[in-house]
Amino acid sequence: MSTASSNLRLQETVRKVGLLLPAQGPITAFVHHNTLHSFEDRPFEQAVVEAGALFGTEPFLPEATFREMLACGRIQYRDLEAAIGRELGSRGSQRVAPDVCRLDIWRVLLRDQIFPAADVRCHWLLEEQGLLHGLLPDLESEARRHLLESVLEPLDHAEGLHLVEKRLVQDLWEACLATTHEAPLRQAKSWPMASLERPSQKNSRWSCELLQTFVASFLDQGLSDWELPHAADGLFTCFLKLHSEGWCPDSRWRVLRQRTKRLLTTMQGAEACLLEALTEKGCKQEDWENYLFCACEGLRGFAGMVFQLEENPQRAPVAAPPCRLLDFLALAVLVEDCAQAIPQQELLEEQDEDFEETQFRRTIPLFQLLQRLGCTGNWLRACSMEERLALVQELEQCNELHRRRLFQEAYERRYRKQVLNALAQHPGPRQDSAAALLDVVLCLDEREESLRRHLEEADPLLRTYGTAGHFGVSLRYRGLGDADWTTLAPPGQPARFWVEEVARDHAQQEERQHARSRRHLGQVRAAADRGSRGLFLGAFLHVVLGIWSTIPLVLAVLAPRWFHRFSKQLSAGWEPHHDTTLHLWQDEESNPTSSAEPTEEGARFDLDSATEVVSGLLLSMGLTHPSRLVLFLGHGSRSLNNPQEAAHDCGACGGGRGGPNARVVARLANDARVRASLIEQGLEIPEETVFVGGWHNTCDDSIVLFDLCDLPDSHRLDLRRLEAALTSARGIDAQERARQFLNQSTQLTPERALAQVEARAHDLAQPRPEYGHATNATLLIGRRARSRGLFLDRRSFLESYDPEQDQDGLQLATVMGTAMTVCAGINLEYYFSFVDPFGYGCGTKLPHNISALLGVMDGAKSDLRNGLPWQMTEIHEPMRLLVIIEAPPERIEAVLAQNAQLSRLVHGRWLQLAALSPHSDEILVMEDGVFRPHHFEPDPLPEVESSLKVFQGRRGPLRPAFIRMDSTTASPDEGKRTVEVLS
Amino acid sequence: MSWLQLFSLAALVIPVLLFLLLGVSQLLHCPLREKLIGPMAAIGLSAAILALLMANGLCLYQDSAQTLDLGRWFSGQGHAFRLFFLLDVSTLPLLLFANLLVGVVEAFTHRYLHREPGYHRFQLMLFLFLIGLDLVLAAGSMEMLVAGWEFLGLSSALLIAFFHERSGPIRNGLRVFSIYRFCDVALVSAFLWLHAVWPDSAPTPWQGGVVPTLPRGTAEGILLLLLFAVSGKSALLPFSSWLPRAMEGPTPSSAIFYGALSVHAGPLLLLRFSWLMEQAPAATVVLGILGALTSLCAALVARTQTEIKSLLAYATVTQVGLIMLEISLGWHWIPLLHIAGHATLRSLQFLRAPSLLHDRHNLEDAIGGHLAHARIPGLDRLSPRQVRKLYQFSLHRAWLDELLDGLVIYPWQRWTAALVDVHLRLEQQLAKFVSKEHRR
Repeated sequence: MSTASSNLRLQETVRKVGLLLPAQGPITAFVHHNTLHSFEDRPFEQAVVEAGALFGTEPFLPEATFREMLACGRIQYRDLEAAIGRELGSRGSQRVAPDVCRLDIWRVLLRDQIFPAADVRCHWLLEEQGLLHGLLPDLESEARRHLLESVLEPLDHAEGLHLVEKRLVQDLWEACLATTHEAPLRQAKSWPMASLERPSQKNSRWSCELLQTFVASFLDQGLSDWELPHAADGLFTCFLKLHSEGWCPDSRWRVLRQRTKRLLTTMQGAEACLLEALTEKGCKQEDWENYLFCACEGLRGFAGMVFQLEENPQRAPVAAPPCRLLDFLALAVLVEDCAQAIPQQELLEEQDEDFEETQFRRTIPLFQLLQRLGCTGNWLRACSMEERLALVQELEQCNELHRRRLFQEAYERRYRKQVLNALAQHPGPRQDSAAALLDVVLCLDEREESLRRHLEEADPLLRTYGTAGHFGVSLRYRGLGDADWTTLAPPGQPARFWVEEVARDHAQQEERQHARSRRHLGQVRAAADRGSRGLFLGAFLHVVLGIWSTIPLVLAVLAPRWFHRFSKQLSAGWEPHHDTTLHLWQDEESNPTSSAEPTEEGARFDLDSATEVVSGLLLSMGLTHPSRLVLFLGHGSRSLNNPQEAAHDCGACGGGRGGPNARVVARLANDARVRASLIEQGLEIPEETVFVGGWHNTCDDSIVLFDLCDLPDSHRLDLRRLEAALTSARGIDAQERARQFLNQSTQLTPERALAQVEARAHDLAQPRPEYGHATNATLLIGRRARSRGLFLDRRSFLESYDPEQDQDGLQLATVMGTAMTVCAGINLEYYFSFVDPFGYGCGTKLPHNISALLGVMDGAKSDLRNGLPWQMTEIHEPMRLLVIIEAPPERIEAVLAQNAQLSRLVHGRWLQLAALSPHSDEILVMEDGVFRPHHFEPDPLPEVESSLKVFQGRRGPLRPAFIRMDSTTASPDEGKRTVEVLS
Repeated sequence: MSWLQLFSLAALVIPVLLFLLLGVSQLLHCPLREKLIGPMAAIGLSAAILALLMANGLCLYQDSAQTLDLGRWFSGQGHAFRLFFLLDVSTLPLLLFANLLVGVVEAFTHRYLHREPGYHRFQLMLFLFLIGLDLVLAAGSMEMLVAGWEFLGLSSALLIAFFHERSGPIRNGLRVFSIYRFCDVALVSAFLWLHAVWPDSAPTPWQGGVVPTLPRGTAEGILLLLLFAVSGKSALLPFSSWLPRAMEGPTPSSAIFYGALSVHAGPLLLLRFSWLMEQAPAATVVLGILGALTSLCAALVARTQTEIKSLLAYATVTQVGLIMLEISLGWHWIPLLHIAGHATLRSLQFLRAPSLLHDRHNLEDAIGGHLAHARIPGLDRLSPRQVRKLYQFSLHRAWLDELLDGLVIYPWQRWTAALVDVHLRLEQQLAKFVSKEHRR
């Protein structure tokens, strides 16, 4: 084969390998995505098992965890029954052995604890646990009686009972052992790659550390002081040039020097080097993928980062260096080869278990199963050969992995029943109320569910809507005092507006002074920071000034909230001015601030696209009759001690803070020209309606409203009413959040709760500033009226959609397309990070070490760790997202037919889908590709007076409840205190 | 007993009580609840800090050094193991400082390690660390100093291996522990030697006190041994590379041990033996050179580190080297001030390390652009080839790990393997011989 075609083939293979690697980009813009995105073409159950074998990760929660849930009632037996029934279908009633049908076996295996008979435990179970001395202690009395009666005609000699039991058990054991001896052993294929098996050789620690060090320097976004020489030559060449000469501490280094020197002189590229290595190892083309994937062992995080920066260089916080995954792989193979120069210390190889052990391992489950079924040794001997083999086979079928899968289904079913029952029993009207004084539009984020509920509780005449948090506008944004432009748009969507925040005219003079002070102070700070790490300036700083840092050290640790407020006061003289406005334009060139004549109000945009944005947003939510005052409330989160800070921001804004989007869309919707052209399109917004933008910080529950000075005087009263509702709602929201944190009381007052969450946000010692998306479980697409007043425990994404106003299903296609993919991404990332916190998640956050400003390492030096830390996910319940759409099933199916990605997610069971009828309480659930009616279990929905009654004094997940709103009426004058409001 | 002694005694006993309470309750399988430990430790350590404040005030007011004699543990021929503490104008402020820092970090950990399975273990080790530190700072006898020194090493190694479910922390914890033990041999030898030439030897107060005049060679030898002992604990050359490897534990342990207190145990020990330096000029010069070289090397290595904690670790080594240089110049107060300033500022930096992205973002906003790479003085005068070599030297941390592995660890492993081999063979021969005897 020619070199060119080999190269091409190699590049393709490398790309394939790249797609298997962790797909998380730089941590500064954390975008939630399905951890197993590259496995989405397979059904969920198959994908998790295959990925588990490939990455060495867990597919489901451990069986023991599920059994605990079974014991405490989180999973119920009927859920298990249903899961088994679905799995077996008609096969369940088939007879496996005399008087025993398949369903009986599976029931026992799932319901009762069958000791996992892993290798070494066998002997322990037999000898120490007295498995052969008597019947299982927790055996059901029915089975025990049955067993004893079979050997003991009259049950009268009580003194010899234990001897009888012992004889019985040993007889059964002998029979079981004989049975498993007959049954053939089958080897399961565990390595899912197309070819061969997993190579036995693993990367040595030396080569891993060498590459981790070098690649981190290569990718570094400015943490180290010294720029890597030759970085522009690309990863491979740069490595060669740097390492071709120098000191050789040992033979590995000597080989490394020789080989790099040779590669440099022959001018071989990475492709040639890799091809040569592959040929040398006798690796056939079909094995390349396997081989190259395994070459990343111990370096997958870095390899994934290299691949991500190669594919999306614009996601780098500063600038992506010229890196290619192919270079990385070539280096990995090269360095590992050099590492072989020193023979590795031989590790103890896993010994093949001997035949007897294997038989024990296979016999113990059978032995326990038969006891639980009430079968004796004689019964087993009486079975035919086929029946005995079928029994063993059935046991191997319903293995641990299979059981965990069924448990997972039962676990999901319990929650699904609760939510669907609550929705079906929801007593409210189906239409959104027409008589509203205020509208608040929030992100569909499940963290805003509680805020929405509390807003509606605070003011019955307030309606809320939910939509993707970028509100339909994709921005390139630079706030006042920001150094950089950020993109606030869903990942992959190009920005349509350029927006810059500037001080209003009267404040510009002051802002210029502030900016100057900021710059000078910043330079001093940067110099001091760098100097403190240096030699002479460091010595000076430490001797003269060091001791003064006791003050911030003690204050920041002991009184974080107070310290934050104090430093804020102190910095008031140079903070960016709060009286600002936006400059808005549509492409990079037409920046009105730079052009000679600024346009009217600093805005220059294409009327059509602005109209499209506003109409698209309002129509998709069904907000066609807005009230007098409409608030768009974006969200984001600010916290300390949190490298994953961006993961708490708005996913629809690409891991950014959505305030500017809300502000921009309010500005556009207020524009008279936009309104005029909306009327042309048939969407009439009343003259009196005014839009306002705002920002909700989900970490400290503060809310900021923008551009209030532009609000007409006629709306001041409405604003007061809105502010009263917001004030009350954010207090209760903080209370509701406080119950999630184990080190906070569940009986806090709203004021105390707000103070506590504020302290959390500014605390250097706080690994859990907020719990982010943890506990998310449902996505509800439909009118708010169908869920208004439902206590959904901050677990439900809520997207507004009005099926009555969308007969052709066009809106549904957009709504489902964005909401379902975004929410499923969040949900699945939490699922995997929770199910395997070390394999898929990034483990505990406590020893994390930020590397190259791109990601985190564990402790001193490790691979880059992807996924979510345990402190973010620990209260999660790992279930696949339950999507409930209020629309006719045909309409949903039509959308699925057109959207391949959604269809893969739904039909591959990466999420659960249900359809809520717009006209009745009927609910259909998607099972095996078709909608089937949902059967309700009699389970009345509790009714309470307020959310507070549901959550106060309680921790852990709560069941849905209905909140009767009529009893709580809030008057506009109630809240005298105003929310923290700028301008 | 005077008030000064009483207050100091209270401060010294409190960490011991806390340690015992936590440890015993865990041994009895009824660990205290997190909610109880936090306030308990806070009250205990605040009390210790208050007591030390009073003691400091009294000491300054009375202007007299005192000692605290708790009697003898045991005694033998001509020697007694005395529990004896020095309470003077330089010990007491340092005790206060150490207690304050540990107290702050304790408060920090209470929130940082909330819900962590190793919460108890961490607190236990933190108190053990404080006991060790109190001993090292105030010990009135060599034996107590060594005991304190060992407590420091033990708690430090166990906290590096805190996350024992992964292999990295265990490996690095073991490495640090081995280096500590290796260097501790020198400390014990130095003390034994000192005992031999000066029978009633004891750590002297920071200043003053009666000291003997030793023969020149003896003084040099003892100081060199001390220097060796200190170079392990304070990460001087050639042991510097363990410090970044120690960043395996939770962030606050990195801050208190490797940013603040544990690395400074070395300079503090040398300060107590500053009288020896006057008698051993050659060893003092070695100390100065070692300090300067460590400092230069670490400053160079720090330039290329891309992980925030290793970066801070090498920055720490840089300053510790300088402090050693200052001590070798015979200064007293400047190194103390340097230690105090460095300890607080560095622990603050360590505690802020997880907020790096946040802080850096704010800083860049203030400046109005990305932070540029630093200009390294003198670099442009070198040829590209030299730059490459220097960069490599810095990137691979001066190959100190490889050096230690190649010169000490691998040979050691080989020798032990050979020894074991010889031993086994002898045993076999013996067994054969015995069995033959038996058969006959």
